[in-house]
Amino acid sequence: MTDGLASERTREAWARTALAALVYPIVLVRSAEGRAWPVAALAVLAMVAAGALSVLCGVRTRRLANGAVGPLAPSVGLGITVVTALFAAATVGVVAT
Amino acid sequence: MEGSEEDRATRRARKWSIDLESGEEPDYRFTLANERTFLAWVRTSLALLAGAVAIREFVESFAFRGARRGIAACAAGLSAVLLVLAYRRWVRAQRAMRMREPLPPSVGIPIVASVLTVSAIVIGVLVILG
Repeated sequence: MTDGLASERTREAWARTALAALVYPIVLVRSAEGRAWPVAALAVLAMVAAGALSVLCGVRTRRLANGAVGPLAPSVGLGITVVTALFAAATVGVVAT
Repeated sequence: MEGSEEDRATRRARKWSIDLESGEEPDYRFTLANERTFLAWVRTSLALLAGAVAIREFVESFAFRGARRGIAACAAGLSAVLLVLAYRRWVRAQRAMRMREPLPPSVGIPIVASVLTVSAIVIGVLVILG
C-alpha cells in the first residue's frame, strides 16, 4: 500500500510556502513608498525571489506528482535558507532605519 | 592532533550537509514529513519577515522612542535565526533517519515560544503605557 496523501500534503506545503513568500514583497512595496531607493530595490529583489520559489515549487510539485518521492536536494534547501536569511538581514536594516 | 582537527572538521560538515550515500533510504513518507516540517519553518520565518515590515509600516509609535523599530528588527532577526535552525534540523533529521538513529530534538520551538512570550509581555506593557 502506498500513501499518496503524503505526497499530496507535501505538494500543498510547497504551494503554501510559495504563497507565503508573496506576502513579504507586497508589504515591502507598500513600505518603499517615500523611502530611499534601496528599499524599492529590495522589494523588487524579493519579488524575483518569490517568483523563483514559485518556479521551484512547480518543479518539485511535478516531480512528486510523477512519483519521484526522493529527498529534496540539500542544495535546494540550503539555497532557500541562504536567500531568505539574506532578506531577513536586509530587513533588519530596513526596519531599523 | 591533526586527526582530531580533521574529525572536528568532518563533524562540522556533517551538521550542515546530508550524505545521501551513507545509511539506507528511509520510508519516503518520513522523508516527505521532514521536508514538510522544513517548509513549515520557512513559512514561519517568512511570516516573521512580513510581520517585521508591517510593524514598522502600519503600527503607530509607542511612548518609548524606538520601541516599534526594535520590535520589528527583533522579528526580522528571529526570522534569520529560525531559518538557519530549520535547515540544520532538516539535515540532522534526514541523516538520523538514514542511519536509523533517534531524531534530534528541536531547538527552534523553545526559542520561538520564549521570544513570543517575552514579546507579548513587552508589547502588552507598551500598549498599556500608550
